[in-house]
Amino acid sequence: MTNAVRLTGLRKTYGSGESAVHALAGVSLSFASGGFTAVMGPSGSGKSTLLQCAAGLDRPDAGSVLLGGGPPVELTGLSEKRLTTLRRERIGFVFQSFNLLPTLTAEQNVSLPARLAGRRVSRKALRQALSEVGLDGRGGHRPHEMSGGQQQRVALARALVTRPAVLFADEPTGALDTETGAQVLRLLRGLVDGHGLTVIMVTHDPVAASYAHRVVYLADGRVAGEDHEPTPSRVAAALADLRPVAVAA
Amino acid sequence: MLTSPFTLLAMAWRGLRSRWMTFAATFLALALGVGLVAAMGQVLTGTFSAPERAPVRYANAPVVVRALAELSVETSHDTETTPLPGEHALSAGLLDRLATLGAVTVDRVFELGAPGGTATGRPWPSARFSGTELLSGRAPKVDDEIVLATGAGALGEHVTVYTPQGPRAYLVTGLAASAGEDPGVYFTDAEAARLQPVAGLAVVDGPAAAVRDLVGTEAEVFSGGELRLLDPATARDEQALIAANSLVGTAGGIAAFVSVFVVASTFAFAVGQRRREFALLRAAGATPRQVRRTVMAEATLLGLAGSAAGCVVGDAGGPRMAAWLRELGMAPPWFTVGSSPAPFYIAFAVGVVVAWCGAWSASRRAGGIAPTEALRETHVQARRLSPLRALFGAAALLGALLMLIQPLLEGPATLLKRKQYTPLVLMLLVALAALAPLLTGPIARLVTWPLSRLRGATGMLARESALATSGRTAATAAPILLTVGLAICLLGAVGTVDGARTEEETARVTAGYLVLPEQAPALTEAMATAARDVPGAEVSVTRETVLFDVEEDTALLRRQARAVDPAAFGTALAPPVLEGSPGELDDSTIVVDTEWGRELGEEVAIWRADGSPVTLRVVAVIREGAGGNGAYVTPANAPGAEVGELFVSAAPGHDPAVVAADLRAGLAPLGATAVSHQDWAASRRAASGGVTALGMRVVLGIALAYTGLFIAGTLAMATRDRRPERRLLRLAGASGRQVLAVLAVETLVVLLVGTVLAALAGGLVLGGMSLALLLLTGTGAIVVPWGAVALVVGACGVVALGSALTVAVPGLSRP
Ligand SMILES: Nc1ncnc2c1ncn2[C@@H]1O[C@H](COP(=O)(O)OP(=O)(O)O)[C@@H](O)[C@H]1O
Ligand SMILES: [Mg+2]
Repeated sequence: MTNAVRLTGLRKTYGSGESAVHALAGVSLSFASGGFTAVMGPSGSGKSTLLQCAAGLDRPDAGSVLLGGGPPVELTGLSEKRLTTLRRERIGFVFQSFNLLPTLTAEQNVSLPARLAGRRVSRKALRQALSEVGLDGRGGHRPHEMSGGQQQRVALARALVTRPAVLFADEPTGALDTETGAQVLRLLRGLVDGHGLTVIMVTHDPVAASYAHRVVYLADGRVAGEDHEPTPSRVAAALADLRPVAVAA
Repeated sequence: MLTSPFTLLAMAWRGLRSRWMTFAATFLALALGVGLVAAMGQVLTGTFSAPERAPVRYANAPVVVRALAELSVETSHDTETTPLPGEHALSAGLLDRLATLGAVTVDRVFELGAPGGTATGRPWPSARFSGTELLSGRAPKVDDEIVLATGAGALGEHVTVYTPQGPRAYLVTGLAASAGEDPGVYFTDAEAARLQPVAGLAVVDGPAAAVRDLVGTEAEVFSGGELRLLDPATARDEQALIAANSLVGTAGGIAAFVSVFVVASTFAFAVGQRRREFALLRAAGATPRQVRRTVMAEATLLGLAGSAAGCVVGDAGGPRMAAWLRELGMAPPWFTVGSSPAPFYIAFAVGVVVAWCGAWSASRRAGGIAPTEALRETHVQARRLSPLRALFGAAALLGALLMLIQPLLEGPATLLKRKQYTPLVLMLLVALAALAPLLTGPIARLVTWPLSRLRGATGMLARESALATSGRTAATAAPILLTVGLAICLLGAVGTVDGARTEEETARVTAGYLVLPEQAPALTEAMATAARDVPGAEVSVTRETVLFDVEEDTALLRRQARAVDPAAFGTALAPPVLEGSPGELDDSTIVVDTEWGRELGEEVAIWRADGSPVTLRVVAVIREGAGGNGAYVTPANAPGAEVGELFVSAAPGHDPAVVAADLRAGLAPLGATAVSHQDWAASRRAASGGVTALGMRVVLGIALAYTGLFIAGTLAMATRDRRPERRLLRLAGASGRQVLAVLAVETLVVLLVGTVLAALAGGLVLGGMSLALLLLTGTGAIVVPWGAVALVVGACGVVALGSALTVAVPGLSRP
């Protein structure tokens, strides 16, 4: 199996001197194509930073980010312009706070990446993208006219419409209730299993993590362990173990 | 929801930065607005009174008696009295009686063309009263000798002086320094009496009280400080002040309006912009009342500080503005700001109150913000029109429409007056700004329609954002509406009125040539005679006169009229006739314009310029026109009227070029020349509106500089406010450049929306004027100052784009 993303020795420090925070203190990880990985860890352990560096939204201080799923590309060192186009074409991203454009309808939001790339997307493709996330007939609604779960699914449709190799998700269910969250997670899992999508998802919810093939634990900017085919109880136990480690460090 | 300490910190920092810009923008709007009002106020108080100057012409005279001629008419209310025009003579009897009180020196004053330009002619014996003394030479002894006090000429030289009786060569026997007086030429008593037969003034070397007793109501008596009223400078000062007052009054009105508008909007905008901050306060447990009080406390503090700063700005700006008016020739050279502190008090109070009012309505909205709004990152502000604002807007619109329609029904000429259309324009702009949220949606849909046809993201984003947040679009477009609206409406109105007047004035004349004075100060009978002597010249003369008319048995009106030979209507003049035929004019009839409100065939009882009553029958009614076409009578009904216009046409069978050449040859010795109708009309058009148009430009320039800042401030605040949206766009895959492109197109949409709203106002105002002109003149041509409007719109675009991009560019490199 090839790697969709390979991170080597990622470091990221905020601030300097006494108050320096080592958000990432040397992280090396590989994410296999077609895999669903959950990244877990206590608050402040560097999960978001990791995801943002991996997705080219942020630049690490050191280390490398190799993006597969096509000709391999090293993200560190790319110009901001190249990064933007690359993100547009090969990376999808969903956030806890949906991040839809409030002035655009669902359909327009989904069409945005293609339009930004200067391509026209057919209505049919847009409808299909929305239909894939279970939003038939909602294309004309603006974000504030939809529930959180629906908004997150629009965000998902938008992230997937360009057929990216990797989808990054930062606490995609964080703002959703359990049931709606479960719908979104089932959807993600279905896309991985059915369409061969690669998903890397940050979460702090053990139940959410159990939808993944694999869990990676992060503490204080370092990889603190991993697990395969996790169950909620195993993840919860592992997380509970992590905390004292974090304090001790 | 977990919030890391970093997020909170960032939020606080962001809040502070956003407040910093908001504070700066509101403070600046207020300080400059109050400064503008204070400066205009000082300049305005400066136009209230001319400086009290010491008498010049009669500085050394004990008492001066001036002939008085008045017309008194009994109206239903009381007796109305008005001075008669022209020069009046002191009776010989009165002069004899005055001589019993002391030496009497008769004075005559007349205009001349002399070496060095226009000068005042007077008898030498009265020169001493102004302290005019000989520098060299001697007093004139015979009729063709003069003393020159013009700064030109040399002793012993023969010079040509263009007198009311024609040109004559004089020997300069003396040179004098005019003691603060206008340039003067002094003649012997006898020659002065020949040139100006009317002895209108007498200096009496006797006690003022005795002179007053003796004269009674027969004439006017001046002594002491009153003597300054006889100086030509006094009348000139008054005239200049009236003109300056009218201009500064308009300017002050516009400045006050613009300041109030800008300050109120900026405060409202600033509070509206901090919705999220207030929502956080509410979420943290603040009651709506506490939020309101926070807003009002801030507004009060900021209002006081900004207004105080404004007074400092005004203190520096007022004298500067006065200097500017002097330099542009719109105020007399001695003009300065008034010394009253009132403008500062008023401006300060206006600043505080307006800041308060602007914040008040917004604070009510702020208090009503739900705590849950804090949870939303960004949201579509579907700001609906509040009932209060709708009511206010509707009332303003109604007021504006009334101001537009009422003159159309009752007297269209009123609509052409600056005092009528300026408030109308301001009212209309307020109405449109208030109702803008209603109009913005459809207008934005219209102007962004082409964008919906584009396949890229930019057009879609700009269009959808303008449509989804029409409330915000309206608020951002308001400063552009104000700026462009003022330019279109006011420049259009001035241009339209000036254009109509010039057209009318030139169309009234059909003669091939007009005689104009060159070296001579005015047209004379001698020039008319000279013109008649030219073979093949058909000459028509008009004389300016006045007629007194009692309107509705209450008001005694002084109406302008021209005296003409009826033949002139065929050859030289073509007034816009509505009914009747002016050619039938004779000594018992009159031609009136519709302003007189008289019917064809009606007998009109009026008074002539010398106060004698006469009853004339209306033989023709002409249009009132844009500037008033007045009335026409025959010279018999215009006693004492001097030549006003002199028209010449080539008689059939004569070559106009030859006639014109002969005419110029004949007129040259008299100090006059002839111009073709075409050249005359062209020069009239070129000079059209000169001072009024310049005045309006200055007034607008000041106002627009201020509203330009308003545009910059509003766009900066709005752009800052929408930073989260730009981040979203970046996260959705837009490059920094694309985000800027979206912002630029959005800004242009706002510019377009504001311009369309302004065009709406312009259409209404100029449409109304066109209708008024149609009623008055029969043609409703309007003048739209396209160039100036394009310039203003372009400048607005540059300011808006510059401001938005300056705010947006930093922080775009990273998503
Ligand atoms: N822009 C930033 N400036 C300063 N410190 C930051 C910044 N972003 C993250 N951090 C710090 O880096 C650490 C890791 O942050 P983050 O990756 O957001 O953690 P997580 O997502 O696991 O909660 C935290 O201690 C956080 O305070
Ligand atoms: Mg995080």
